[in-house]
Amino acid sequence: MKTKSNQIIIKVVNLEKSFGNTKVLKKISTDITKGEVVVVIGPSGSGKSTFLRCLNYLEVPTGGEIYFHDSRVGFQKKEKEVDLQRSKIGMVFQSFNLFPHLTVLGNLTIAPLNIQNVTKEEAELMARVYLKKVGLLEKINAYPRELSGGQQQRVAIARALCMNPEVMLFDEATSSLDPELVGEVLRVMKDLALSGMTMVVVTHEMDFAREVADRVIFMDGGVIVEEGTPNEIFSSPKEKRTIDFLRKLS
Amino acid sequence: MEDSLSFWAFSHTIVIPRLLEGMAITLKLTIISGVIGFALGMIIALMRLSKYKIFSWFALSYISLFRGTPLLLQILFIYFAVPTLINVNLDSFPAGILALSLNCAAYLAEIFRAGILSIPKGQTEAAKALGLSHHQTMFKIVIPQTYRRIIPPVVNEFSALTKDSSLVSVISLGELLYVTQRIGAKYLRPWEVYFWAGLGYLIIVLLLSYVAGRIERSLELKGGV
Repeated sequence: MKTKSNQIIIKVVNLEKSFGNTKVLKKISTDITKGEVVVVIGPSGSGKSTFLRCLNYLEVPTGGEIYFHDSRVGFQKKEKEVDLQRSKIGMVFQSFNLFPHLTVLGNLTIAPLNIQNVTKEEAELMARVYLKKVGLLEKINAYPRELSGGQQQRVAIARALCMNPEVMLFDEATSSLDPELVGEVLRVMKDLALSGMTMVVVTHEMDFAREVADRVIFMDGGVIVEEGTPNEIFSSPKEKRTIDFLRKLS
Repeated sequence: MEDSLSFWAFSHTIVIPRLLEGMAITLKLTIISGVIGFALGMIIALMRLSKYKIFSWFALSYISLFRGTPLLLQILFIYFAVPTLINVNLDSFPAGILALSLNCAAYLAEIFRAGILSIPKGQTEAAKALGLSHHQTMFKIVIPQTYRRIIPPVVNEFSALTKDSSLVSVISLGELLYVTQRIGAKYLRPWEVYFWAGLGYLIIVLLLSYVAGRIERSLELKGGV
């Protein structure tokens, strides 16, 4: 088993987000500690993706606070500081979002080369290490359109890892994949979890949640309804909404 | 004397040599205005998309002004009216370049803006999530993806620019149409002169399309986006 510290990486206090008059997040509070794998589940429209996107300020919260270590994310910050925070928070999207005009190598090195103080050789070396980790070293010179969905998503994971992030966010990373390609991406995510990476994962894959999560958060209607270990949530849920949701899935 | 010359002899000895000189000036006008217009158009497009109201407002006014008034008027205004306002004398060549590039920048800006907006939002989000700045996201991720998409409308605009450069003849700049009108009037043989002038414009535009086609194909081979 991995060791866990109590060092809080992300602290969320009374987070609120509204789109127009619609309140999507209502006073959400939680902490993400180092090495923890947090899986967020819930029906669509529950606000779980919005919650995740607030963590790296892709969505601008309308209330509350988020701290990355001790510094507040977003709010009154210069753009540069937001960019710096984002570079330490990796993110993987539902639609992969690889850069189609760059090769796999180009996708993996563009951020390190432009943001960190690394040479071309160092960036390339790192790219090779992470490509090997996701099992796609032989695709280093391919363009994204030449890859399957599962391969693209694994490259996207490697791309985020190349920035050496302290935490990785997964926004329904397997939802747009054909069923037979889901497994390869989940395997990479599981390996990553086992290696001690701090992860916040929004997903519909309950088996993954059960197997990999240290903590499961169940969201509905913009609030955290219930949270706990996978065992607590899946075997003995307390809240009615959680029970209803889990029953619908099985 | 020249009346008696055959079509070919007249074309060969009188028309073509002079039209070639005019064509050289037309080419120069088009290329220089095209390059300046391209750079300026990109700046205007980025201003138009800026989150700062003052920039987007300025860009919108600029585009409205240059698209909303006739190019012929803009040329006359820059050549005749501007010098009286600021007390400098503009030669017809710089005046022509100025009018053509300001005008073509307005149209190109809208082409660039459309190209930038056509790139899916996920691309910007992925770039930002990696920590790239707004500037880096624009210039390294978004704009390179627009190249292939904007080539056809940009070629359209450059073809229009080539032909519109003939309007500069009104300020006595010796480009292709101006030279054509001069020899047409002098020898009273409009058929030959206008025929060759038309062919001259056609050749420039066809060359432009050819080069653009080559660029488009090489981009296709590279990334195909």
